[in-house]
Amino acid sequence: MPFIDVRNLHHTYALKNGGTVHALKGIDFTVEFGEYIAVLGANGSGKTTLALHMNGILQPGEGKVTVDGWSTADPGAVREVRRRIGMVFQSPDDQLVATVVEEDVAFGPENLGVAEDRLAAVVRDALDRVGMWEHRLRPPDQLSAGQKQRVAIAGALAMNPRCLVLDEATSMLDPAGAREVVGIVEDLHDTGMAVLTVTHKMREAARADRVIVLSGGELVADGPPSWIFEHPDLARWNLRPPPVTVLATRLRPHFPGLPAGLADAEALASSLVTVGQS
Amino acid sequence: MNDPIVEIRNLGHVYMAGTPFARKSLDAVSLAVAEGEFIALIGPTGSGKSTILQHINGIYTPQTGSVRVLGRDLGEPGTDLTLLRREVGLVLQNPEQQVFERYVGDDVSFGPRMSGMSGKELTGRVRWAMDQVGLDFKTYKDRPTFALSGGERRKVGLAGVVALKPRILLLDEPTAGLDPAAHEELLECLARLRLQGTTMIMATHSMDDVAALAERVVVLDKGRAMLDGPVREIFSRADEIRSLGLELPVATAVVHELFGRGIGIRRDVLTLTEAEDAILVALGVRI
Ligand SMILES: Nc1ncnc2c1ncn2[C@@H]1O[C@H](COP(=O)(O)OP(=O)(O)OP(=O)(O)O)[C@@H](O)[C@H]1O
Ligand SMILES: Nc1ncnc2c1ncn2[C@@H]1O[C@H](COP(=O)(O)OP(=O)(O)OP(=O)(O)O)[C@@H](O)[C@H]1O
Ligand SMILES: [Mg+2]
Ligand SMILES: [Mg+2]
Repeated sequence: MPFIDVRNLHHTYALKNGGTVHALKGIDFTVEFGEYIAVLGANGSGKTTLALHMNGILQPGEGKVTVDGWSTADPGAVREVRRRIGMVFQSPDDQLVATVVEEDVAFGPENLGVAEDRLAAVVRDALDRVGMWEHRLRPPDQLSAGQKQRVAIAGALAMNPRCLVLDEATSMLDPAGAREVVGIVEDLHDTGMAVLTVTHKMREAARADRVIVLSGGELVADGPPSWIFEHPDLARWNLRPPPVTVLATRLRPHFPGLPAGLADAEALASSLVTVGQS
Repeated sequence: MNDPIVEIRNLGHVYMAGTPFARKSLDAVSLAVAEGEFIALIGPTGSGKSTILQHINGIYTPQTGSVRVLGRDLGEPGTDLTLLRREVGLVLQNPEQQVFERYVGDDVSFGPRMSGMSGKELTGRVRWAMDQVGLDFKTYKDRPTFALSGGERRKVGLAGVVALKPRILLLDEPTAGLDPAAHEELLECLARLRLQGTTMIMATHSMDDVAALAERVVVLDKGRAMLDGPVREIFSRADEIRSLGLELPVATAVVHELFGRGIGIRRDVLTLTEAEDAILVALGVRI
């Protein structure tokens, strides 16, 4: 059985004025243990709604989401689901609640009922994994945005999840902070954690092993990034290839040996050096 | 520069001054902006970009130093800020703080309504502003604002400010959270507004947006203006830019990477087309 199984998932928001928004229209997909998936799509296509279904913050209107066999619609399974899926959102300021870093990280496991004597070790481990142990006694509001986002990730890790779901977690960060967070997430993925990351940054999406695309609440494509970025419908989904991929495509007629899927400056430069000299 | 439209002199700012939480956020910043200029403010997180923008439309009054905008001294008590803000629009970094009416249409029309516009003219203006930022008028005008996705909310915030047709447009991370097509459309919209003479100051973490739009770049670090110059010159200082935790525009980065690998190539490029030309020349395809 897959780790996450999403079957015919529908979500409809009810508006106070009587209207409705059918935000997810029969989504089907699965996530295996340890996958690294980017979720792409236009503004309003349903990405955040889908992310909120992954750990039961939202409940299916129709269809089913199971996490490691536990249905998110089963009230008795909420804990099991929440401890398996760690969520990280766009703005770290909205996520960090405590006045000291280590208290913030302890918040989740405490709520899950982790015993007092184990709590310290859990917090230490989580902070170590994101490189923030030395900052444990600082108030979160004095950290840089990249550091805050690391603390938010530590908060999720303290629940010992099998999967991290990130919703535009780097969109408010400066370039160094964004790189830092991508690096941490990829290190966690290397240790076997599944990662589902919602992003509008195509070059970040290009780093994933698999990309799923939402359009108008439907899942319209599912495949490796290089395939997605060459898809004829890409523009219709409001997406674009990463800029480096655009440049590589323009250069390819002159350098037919340039490989597909080049998405960052270093990779393009080193391929050009190899191809240009042959 | 004759008659700057914005003139900041030695501006200093301390948040929560006089409390144990006091935090210096601007330290003797000076900046003069000519009418019609497009200036990018870049700098690591916490460097003071948002604080500067919020001084230019009078959200903060100068604690030390001075801010003059459109000939008004914003340190002077009695400056009419309502009047100022009709000409100086600020799109906040966090659209949650910008969008406050119950329905999208009301939110976008708020500014023009307050300045006395009504009827057909008002509807036309709202439709125009929503169109500029890529929000379909019919689909969104009656949508409750709480029921918006992140990117939709940012577009509503933008449209509400654009609807005022301000002379000075202050933009705080305007493209964060926009999908790639909306991102592209917004850059086109800003380029159009610039052609129409709007003065723009944009704080951003996207160096590609800076390369696409700005003529001049001010680099902030820890509340100080460290560099101020033409965009091409600023991004030629790759080491300084990187040591501040910033990065080069992607086109510039590619040629720098090639140079670092021993390829003799011109590095003063900003756009993908310029990078393409430089690469074809450097690798002997074109002379
Ligand atoms: N609380 C809500 N009530 C009603 N409608 C909502 C609510 N939240 C989102 N929607 C609507 O549901 C649709 C999907 O929204 P969602 O937030 O999932 O989009 P998204 O893909 O995350 O977009 P973005 O890229 O802008 O963040 C949109 O049309 C949005 O307007
Ligand atoms: N309301 C506030 N109260 C206290 N300190 C603040 C407040 N707003 C900002 N600061 C502090 O002032 C400094 C400058 O903040 P500012 O928001 O101007 O930076 P920024 O360059 O816009 O950062 P970012 O790239 O993260 O948006 C930072 O140290 C910040 O922590
Ligand atoms: Mg979203
Ligand atoms: Mg800011």
